Amino acid sequence: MTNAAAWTIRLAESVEDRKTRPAAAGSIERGDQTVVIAEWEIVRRAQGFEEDALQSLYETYYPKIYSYAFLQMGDVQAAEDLASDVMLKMIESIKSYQFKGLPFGAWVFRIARNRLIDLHRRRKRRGEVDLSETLASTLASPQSMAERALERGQLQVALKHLTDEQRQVVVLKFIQGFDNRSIGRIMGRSEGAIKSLQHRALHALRRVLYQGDV
Amino acid sequence: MRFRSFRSILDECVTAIQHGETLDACLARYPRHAARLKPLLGLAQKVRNTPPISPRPWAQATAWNTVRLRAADLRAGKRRAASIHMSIGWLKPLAVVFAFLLAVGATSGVTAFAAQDALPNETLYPVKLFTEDVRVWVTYDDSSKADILLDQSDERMDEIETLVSHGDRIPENVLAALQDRNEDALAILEDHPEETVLWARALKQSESQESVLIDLWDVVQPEARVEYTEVVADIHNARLRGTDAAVARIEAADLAGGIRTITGTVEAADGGVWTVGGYPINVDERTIGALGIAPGSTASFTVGNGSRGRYALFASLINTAAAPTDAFVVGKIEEVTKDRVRIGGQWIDLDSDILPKVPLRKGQTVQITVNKTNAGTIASQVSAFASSSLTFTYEGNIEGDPADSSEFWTIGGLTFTPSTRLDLTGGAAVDGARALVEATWSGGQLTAQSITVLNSTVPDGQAYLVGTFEGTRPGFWVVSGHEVAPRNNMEEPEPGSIVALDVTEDDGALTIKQFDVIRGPDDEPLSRFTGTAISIEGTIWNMEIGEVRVASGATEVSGRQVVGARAIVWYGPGDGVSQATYVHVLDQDPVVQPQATSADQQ
Repeated sequence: MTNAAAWTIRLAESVEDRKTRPAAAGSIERGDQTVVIAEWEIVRRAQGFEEDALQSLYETYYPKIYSYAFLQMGDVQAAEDLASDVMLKMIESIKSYQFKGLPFGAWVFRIARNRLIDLHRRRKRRGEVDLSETLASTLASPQSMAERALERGQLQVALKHLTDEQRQVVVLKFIQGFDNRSIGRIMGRSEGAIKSLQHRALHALRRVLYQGDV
Repeated sequence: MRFRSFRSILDECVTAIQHGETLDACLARYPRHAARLKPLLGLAQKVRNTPPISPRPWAQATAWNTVRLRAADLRAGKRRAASIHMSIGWLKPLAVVFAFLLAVGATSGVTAFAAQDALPNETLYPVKLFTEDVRVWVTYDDSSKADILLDQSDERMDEIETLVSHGDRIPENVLAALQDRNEDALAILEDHPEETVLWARALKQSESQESVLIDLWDVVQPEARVEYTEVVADIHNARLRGTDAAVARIEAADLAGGIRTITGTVEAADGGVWTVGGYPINVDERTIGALGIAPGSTASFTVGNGSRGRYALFASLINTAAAPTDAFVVGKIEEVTKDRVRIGGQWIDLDSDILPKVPLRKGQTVQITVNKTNAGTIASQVSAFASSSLTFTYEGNIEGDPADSSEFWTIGGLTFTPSTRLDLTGGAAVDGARALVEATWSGGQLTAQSITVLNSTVPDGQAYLVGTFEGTRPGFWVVSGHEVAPRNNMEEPEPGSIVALDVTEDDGALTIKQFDVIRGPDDEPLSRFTGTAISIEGTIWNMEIGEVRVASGATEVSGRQVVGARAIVWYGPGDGVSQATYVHVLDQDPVVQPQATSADQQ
C-alpha cells in the first residue's frame, strides 16, 4: 500500500503485544527517527479525516476485525465483507466517538458486533446450511494436547460449538486482548456476566476439544 | 477469609498470566482450586497463542481504496453516498448501470451508489431495484440467478424490518418486489429439481418470511393490502410445494379480510370445517401444522378472512397443562440490551426471531407478548403501546353472535372492531359469554387489539373498565375517552390517574358502582402484566413473567384468588420479587391445570 505522505504514523501496540498500558501509543517515522504518539491523538486527527491517521487506524483495525469476523463466521468472503463494512462505518461515524471510558478499539468492535448480529439474522432467515468441516476431523490428538497453541482450524471449528456469547468472549478476551470492562461495553453485559461467560466458555471449549476429558 | 467465587479466581488468574505471571505461581496461590484451574488456564493460554488469522492482502488493499475515497468525500463535506455492499460481485452490474445512466443522460453515476441503501419510502428506491434487475440480467447460469434472486428477496425482508422498526407502514412497492423475486426464483427452481440445496434454502426462506409477514397486517398501508395478500398467499403456496400433501393453493382473496390469530378449544370438525370457540374455520391440506388436532384439543390458528369464510394458514396444538400461550406485559423499558429488556424490575429475554415493531430503547413504552419456557420468560413479539389515554381495558358479556361475517363485536353494551388476536381459550365466543377487551380509539371507533373469552359467569348489565381518568364533563367522568356517570358524592380522582371501575351497563350507558385508583399521576410508574397464576404459594404468585408478591395491605385484589386463572397485575420492582399494587382476577374458574406447590409435594 503506497503512502505519499512525508511520514508514516503507526500504532506501537501490535496484535502480539497485549501487555496492558495506560493508553495505546503510536509512532511516527520521520526519517530514521521514531516518535511515539498516543492513539487518542491519532483518533483526533482521523476525526479531521487526515489520511495518514485514517490509514494508521485502518491498518491496525482491519486485520483485527477480519480475524474476529472469520472466527465468528468461518467464511473468508463474509469476513472480508464485514471488515470492509466496519471500516467504512468507522470513518463515517468517527466524529461521533468520544472517549468516555470506552477505548477506541472497543468502540470499533461494538460496530463490528452490531453488524455481525444483523448478518446472523439475515443468514438464519436464509436458512444457510453450515457446510464447514465437522469437529471430528479436528479433535485434539494426544500430541497436540501437549502443544502450546491450537491450530487455527481447530479453534475455528471448536468455536462453532459454543454459544454466540461464549464465542464472543473467547475471541474478544483471548484473541483480541480486551479487558472485561471493554468486553462488557461491546456486548452490552456487566463485568460479572463476562466473568461467568468466560468460565463457561473455557469449560465448553475444553469439553469440545478434548471430548469430555475435563 | 472472604469467599470468592471460582469464576472470579479464574478471571484473576487469566489476567495475571496475561501480564506475565506463571501458571505455577497462580496455582500456588489457590491450591484448593488448582486441579480445576490448571486445565482451563492452560487452554486459555493455548487460545492466546493460536497463530493470528491474517486477511488477504489484495482484499485489504481494495477495501482501503474505497475507504480512502469515502474519506475524501467526507473531507469535502459530501453526504453519505458510498454503498456498504463491498462484495466485488456488485461492481460489474453497477458498471452496466453507469453505462445505461450515462447513455440516457443521467447526471451522475454516484446515483447508483447512493441508491444501494435506499428504503422503499425513499426516492432512489427504484434505482436500487433496477440495479438488482441488471445483476440478474447479466447472470447467465440459472442456479446463480436463483441464488441471487433469493438474496434479493431476503433484502426485501430486511427493508420491511427496517421500516417497521422505524414505525413506518409497509408500502406496495417492496411487497411487489418481494413477490417478483420469489416468483422468479421458484420458476427457475421448478426447472431444476436437482438443485436440492437451493430448494432447501427457498423453502426455509419462505417459512421465515411468512412467519414475519403474517404478524404485519396492521402495519401494511391500506392501499398495499391487495399486494400483501398476494405475497402471503404466494409464499404460503410455495411452502406447500415442500409437503407430501396434494398441492393446493391459498388464494389472495382468502386473506382479503385480514389475518388474525384465534386460540381456543376445537369443538367439532365437519367436512374440513372446524369450530373453534364458536368460530367456523376451514382446515384442509392448505393448513400447515394441523396434524394431531382433534375435537377437545386446544389450538392456535392463524386465519385469513375472505369471502369464502376463514381459512387457516397454520394450526398448532397448545399444551393446556401449562400456561396458555399468550401473556402480555406493558410498561416502560428500564434497561435494554441486544437480547433482553427489563420492565418493572423483571428481565425478559428476546426471542432471536422476533421483529420488534418499534425501536427498543430505554424509556419506550411497549407491549410484549411473553411465553414461559424451561429457559425462562421469552418475549415473542414487541410492539408500541399507545398513550394510556387512548387505550382501555373493558370486561363485559358478549351480546349476539360474533362469529358472523360482519366481525363486529358487542361486549357489555360497547361495539368493537376486532384487530388481530382472539383468545377463546376460556370458552366459546357466544352470546352471554364473558369477555375481556383491550381496546384503542381509532378514528372515532373502538378497535379491539385483543379479545379474551373468560371462564366466568357474570349477570348481564355488569361490566368492568380500566382506563385513565381525564377529567369531567357535566354529569360524567371521562375515562380513556369514554363517558361514565359517577354516583352522587363520589370524589373524583386526580386527572391522569389510572382507575378501575365496577360499572353497571344499560344499553351502552355506564354508571360507576365503585372504583379504585390503581396509580395516581405522580406515583411511581407501574408495569402491567396479563397472564396466568400458574401457582400460588402464600403471597407469591408464580406467573409467566416470573414471581409477583400479592400481599394484603399492599395489594388491592379484585376477584377471587384462583390458581390456574388469568389475571391482570399492575406491579413495580420490589425487594427481590416484583410487588403487585393491583390485581384483577379474570376467571372464576381455572383455565389451566393448577401446578402442585412445594407444600403439596411434601
